[in-house]
Amino acid sequence: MSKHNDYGALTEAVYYILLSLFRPLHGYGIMQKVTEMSGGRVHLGPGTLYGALNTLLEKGWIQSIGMEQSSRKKEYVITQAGRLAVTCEVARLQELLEAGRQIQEDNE
Amino acid sequence: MRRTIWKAYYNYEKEEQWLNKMSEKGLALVDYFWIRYVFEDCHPGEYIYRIELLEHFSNHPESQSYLHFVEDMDIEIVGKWLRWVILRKKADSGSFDIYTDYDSRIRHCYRVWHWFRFFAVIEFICFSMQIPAFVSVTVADRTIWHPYLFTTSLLGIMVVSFVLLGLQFRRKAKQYEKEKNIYET
Repeated sequence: MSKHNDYGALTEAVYYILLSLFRPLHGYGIMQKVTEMSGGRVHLGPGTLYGALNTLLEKGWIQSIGMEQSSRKKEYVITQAGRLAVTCEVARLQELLEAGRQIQEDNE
Repeated sequence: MRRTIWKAYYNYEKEEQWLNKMSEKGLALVDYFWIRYVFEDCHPGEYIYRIELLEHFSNHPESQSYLHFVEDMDIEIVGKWLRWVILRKKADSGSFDIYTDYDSRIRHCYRVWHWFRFFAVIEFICFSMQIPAFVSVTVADRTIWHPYLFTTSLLGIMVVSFVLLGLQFRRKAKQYEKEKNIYET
């Protein structure tokens, strides 16, 4: 097994949350960014988002960076550990995609 | 124009459906406590309502943290009672669901099941405590038609109702768990 398998498969919600936090965002911003990135397909409910953010904070994949100036909403941003998790996930997704394409081509 | 309606709901899903139906008719819930609902006129379908059972009472720091987060998402807290909260969001800002993946839905279903199970146990203890009184009065008066019949039956019915209602949510959680074998959301 490759060293990169320190990380398991991420859920879609977590993956998109991490991607959205390459730039600092507050909760509502994350929700909007994820919907935008997924072409309107993925909607994160506040309950789901809150739980995921707390888990990501505990894992050290994101950090909270205090309040946004104008609105006093708490903002979050991805950490180095989070970026590494994304890298591994992208590699995993690429593997999945390749396998799918290959099988479909071979069985056309 | 404000309208106050007194209604007792045990099944929060039915309660939520009712609030959304009222919203569609142009009446938006603006205040809530226990069985008291206060409505105000609104555009038909202006708001979407959702009800949630929190893990802790609404004044607990964990709940406060969650509720602040929710308010930052342009969601209004319409009312709170014990661990229940009623939330609303404007319909024109898109769909509104609190939980959007199976894991969180499953956790919420179990939370609701445990809530009803807890009260069923309390009621059952009260029911059991009533039995000796019921029996002794029945024997003494040689009839079952006395006040303890009413109180004992009422408690018995409540125990059964809470268990049946709670089990509905446990069943839902099990269904979601099955779906989770295939899908995340």
